[in-house]
Amino acid sequence: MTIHLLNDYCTNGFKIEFVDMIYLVSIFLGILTIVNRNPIVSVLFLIGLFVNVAGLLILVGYNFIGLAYILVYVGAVSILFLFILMLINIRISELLNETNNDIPLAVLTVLLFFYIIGQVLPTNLTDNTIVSTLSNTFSDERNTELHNDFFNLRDLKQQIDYASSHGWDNSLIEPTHIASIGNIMYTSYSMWLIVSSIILLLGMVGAIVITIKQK
Amino acid sequence: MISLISIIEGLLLIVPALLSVAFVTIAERKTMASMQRRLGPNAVGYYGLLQAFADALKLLLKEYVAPTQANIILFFLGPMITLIFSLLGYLVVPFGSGLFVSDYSLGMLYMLAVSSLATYGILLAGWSANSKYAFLGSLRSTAQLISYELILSSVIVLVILLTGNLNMITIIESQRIVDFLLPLFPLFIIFFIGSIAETNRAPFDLAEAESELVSGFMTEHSASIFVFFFLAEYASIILICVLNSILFLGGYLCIIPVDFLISILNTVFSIDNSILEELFSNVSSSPLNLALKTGLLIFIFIWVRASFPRIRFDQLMSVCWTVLLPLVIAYVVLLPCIVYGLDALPTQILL
Amino acid sequence: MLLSSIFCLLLSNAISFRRDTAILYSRVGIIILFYCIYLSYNNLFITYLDSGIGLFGGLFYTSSITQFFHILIFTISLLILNMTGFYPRKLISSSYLSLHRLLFTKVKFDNENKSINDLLLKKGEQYTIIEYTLMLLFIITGSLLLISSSDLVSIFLSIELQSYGLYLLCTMYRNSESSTSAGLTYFLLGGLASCFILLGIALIYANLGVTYLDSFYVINNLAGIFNEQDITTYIPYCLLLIAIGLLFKISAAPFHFWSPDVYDGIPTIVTTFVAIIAKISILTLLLQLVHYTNSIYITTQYSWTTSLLVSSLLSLVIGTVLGLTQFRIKRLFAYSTISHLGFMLLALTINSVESIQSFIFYLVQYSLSNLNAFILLVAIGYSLFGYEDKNVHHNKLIDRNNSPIQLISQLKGYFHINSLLALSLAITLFSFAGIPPLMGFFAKQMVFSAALQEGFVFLTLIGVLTSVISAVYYLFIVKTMFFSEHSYTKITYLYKKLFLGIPALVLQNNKVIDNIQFNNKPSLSSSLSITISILTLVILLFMFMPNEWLHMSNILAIVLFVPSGM
Repeated sequence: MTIHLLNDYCTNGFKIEFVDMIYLVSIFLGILTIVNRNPIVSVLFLIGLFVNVAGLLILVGYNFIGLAYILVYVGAVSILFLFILMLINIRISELLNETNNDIPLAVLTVLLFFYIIGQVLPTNLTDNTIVSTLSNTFSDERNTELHNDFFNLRDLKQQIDYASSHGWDNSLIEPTHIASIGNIMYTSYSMWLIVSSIILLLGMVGAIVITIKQK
Repeated sequence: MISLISIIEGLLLIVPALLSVAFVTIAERKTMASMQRRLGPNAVGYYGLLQAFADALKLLLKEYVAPTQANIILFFLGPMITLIFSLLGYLVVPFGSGLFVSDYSLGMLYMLAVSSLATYGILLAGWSANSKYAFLGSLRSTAQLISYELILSSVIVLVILLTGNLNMITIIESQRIVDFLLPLFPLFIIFFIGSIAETNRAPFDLAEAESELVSGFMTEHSASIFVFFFLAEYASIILICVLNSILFLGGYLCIIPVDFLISILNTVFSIDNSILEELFSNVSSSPLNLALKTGLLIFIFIWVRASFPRIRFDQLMSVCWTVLLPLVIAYVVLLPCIVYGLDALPTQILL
Repeated sequence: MLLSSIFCLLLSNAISFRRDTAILYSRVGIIILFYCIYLSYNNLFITYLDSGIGLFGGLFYTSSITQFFHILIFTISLLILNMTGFYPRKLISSSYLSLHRLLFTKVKFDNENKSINDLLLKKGEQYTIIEYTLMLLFIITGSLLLISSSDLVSIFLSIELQSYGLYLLCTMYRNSESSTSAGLTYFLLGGLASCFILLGIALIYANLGVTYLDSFYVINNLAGIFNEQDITTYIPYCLLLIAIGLLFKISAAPFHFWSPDVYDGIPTIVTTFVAIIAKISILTLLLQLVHYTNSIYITTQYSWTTSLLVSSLLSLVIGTVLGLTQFRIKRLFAYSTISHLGFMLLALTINSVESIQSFIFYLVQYSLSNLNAFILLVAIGYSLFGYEDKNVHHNKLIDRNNSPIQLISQLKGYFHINSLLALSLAITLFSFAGIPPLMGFFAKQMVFSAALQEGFVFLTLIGVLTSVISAVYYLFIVKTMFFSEHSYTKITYLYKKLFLGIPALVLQNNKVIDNIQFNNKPSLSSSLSITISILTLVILLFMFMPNEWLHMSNILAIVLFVPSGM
């Protein structure tokens, strides 16, 4: 029901706060996934993360990709993952080794990584985060200007979304996601499809090769 | 206000679904009873109709018992997940023409995604109970669900090939000429077998095989938590029957060829029966059609349960992987060829 | 055209799954590779190939450089398949060698007892895995696509195709625990590297909105002209992320730690493939990337190629210093590979005509001599069949079946057992070390001169020093091979049998016409010995006919630099 309610809400005016909320929940779930000692519980948090991200995708309008995400990652991959974890039954005590020594290294790595990523991310998204203030690449003037831009953009986005999702006539004109994805995949990027199908074939053959019983 | 309306919408959908679950349980017990030459429940209410409510009340009033070594949160979360996801599927079902909660353009995909999530409830419940029977039952059930989901989704893909759209209403409306039952009869059989297995029903109820595993993944669950499982099981049975009738039997479309009958009446009696016509046109796409078809399928479910003995687990899996799956994949290759050869590729119908 | 024909061959190979001996498949694979070489050699004569031709809507492209490296990969994998395509040992009988007999008769061993089969190693594990060739072909497809891909997404897809194949190849020998664990290590770290590549690609797409490499290069160069601050800052970082992933895959220095473990764990035949093919394809890709994105170097203070230089420096140092302490031979080879990667990265990063020329030459010569070294290891392992090791320590090694030679001390005094193989190995090692008349020396010299010309004095000094230091461990192997007493004794029962001669029947139309005895010692089969001798001679005699090789790399480098339409 929740997805329905969200969807219902979505059609009546998309709120950017929802997206922020989902971001926060995703980060929270991600941290819990790493911190948890019990592998099964941590996989469960990972599944929660997947569902969350799929919800985000649906919320911002990528319905097909969001549902496919749930279907593939949550419905198939994670179940197998959980299945195996339950079967091999790792003792939790084995995982309780001391990792406190690595914390400064981890912090350093993360900071360095975020510094680089902060430089690289498209500017209008990272503008009001800590990362970009750390990276110090923008002058103050530019900062405020972009800030305004950002808010304008937000309003505009809201309006656009309001208009585009509310209009009934859109469904007549606008092709669905599946149609457009298929259109692209089978025309100009058909080679990728072939290459990925070869990868899948290799995966299948490989799984058989590794597990088959030899005489 | 808007959210209030959508909550009411949700309630309007869920409450009848749960009520129908109650009556399906009674129907099952009565049918089984008459197939086995006995009376069945007949004390509570008229003709035993209120038996389900009495049972539910009994279960709700019982004491919670949770194993001491269990992971309590997951233990209670499992049944809830199962129930929630089996009810979520009702969201995109069109009950009659113009009678739906959500006309989702990706309805079929949504249905698949939600039904694949329901596995988690069983897996978690079985694991968290910290009991061998429950764990074995949940492993069996998960393996079974994953395997048979493959068949179900491949068959759905084939139906979608004929309709050209993932929208439920489009799928139904494209069966106005002829139900998909006719051209895709073997697939319907496969899909029906798959749906029996997907809902863990006899003869494929290895997950809760009483003689081996006490009662499978819900061995340790009791009282109201057990009610959740119970409701979820029957709700998913009804849902999958609805799905069957939407995909192959034409959903809410009328069973009787109305126009034909009216024309006969016109020619035979040669009177202008406009009242009759109005009546027919009301009936022609009413939810009753869907209800009738679904009811028939549920009856077949019960019938199958009463007639067939349970099969072994390895037989179950090998039937899935070595018999049904090759058949379906052969169809996946064959059907596009036929459709392309007849130049019958569906055009995009956007409703 | 080339690619699609490869696909056809590959798929036909995949479909024709008959449970037959694996040896047949290897031979089919060899034929396929010959055909592919012919095709890509033919394609070299297409007009306008110099400027590069886009295939499949610009997702892939072909130019003379890609064709050249295709041929290189085909040749090398051909030689590697050669190792499994034929039995390693043969028996010679002079009475059987006449042409008539050879063509019209069949030899059948009299008593099919176990010792002869063991002798010919017919039941070795590499002959029972029939999917080996298939995997190899998949990997080759991946690396070909990688070399000729001109779109970020197709780069990612083909890297994945190649690496999945490699992971599978590592784990394919399931009976040995070490190869499985090495395969798992490789898989996990390779997956991490893929994550980095994907992140870099995603960031480039998020910033620029293009995935075509051509348009990416255009934007890159325009950004250099306009000096827009916010365009130029992120491009090097994105490229850096991609480069980290790629360096992970080729095990260059800061990301090298997996390669010694993996090389050591997997069977030697597989190590040969894993060590060479992946490096050729990824380095060729890097050549393209570095060449076209280098101009951004002018406008910003930071260029991503400087980090390649850092990686080169670290590779040189780590490869040599850590190599000094190794006593397992495949780990040592892994470290020597790392240090050679340092040279290649140095030549790559300098990016002048001369350095690209030296890079191409270095890559070719290094792949050939590395191949030779690994084939020699395998051959030495085969040739030691009739000996028993007195050293108890050596007999306790795990996984002796798949990689018989594991420790350097196992080579002790090998010169006294089979002097020709020992000499070949010595020549190859000298070439690694860069001893003057051999091929490796010229390659190193070209790299150094290119570096000096562009003013990289410090790195050149480091390079010279490390190559001197690394000579220590190469010479150490040579020393153990030549100047120590070996600990092998001949297995008596086998030799008794050999001296008696192995009885065999010569059949014609299923009728016995002759009874012969194989009196000679079983020797290395001709396929192995021919391969080894050709490769060794190429390394040794390079100085007498250097023109072809040098011209080839020279022309390729010039083609890369001279703009098209000239």
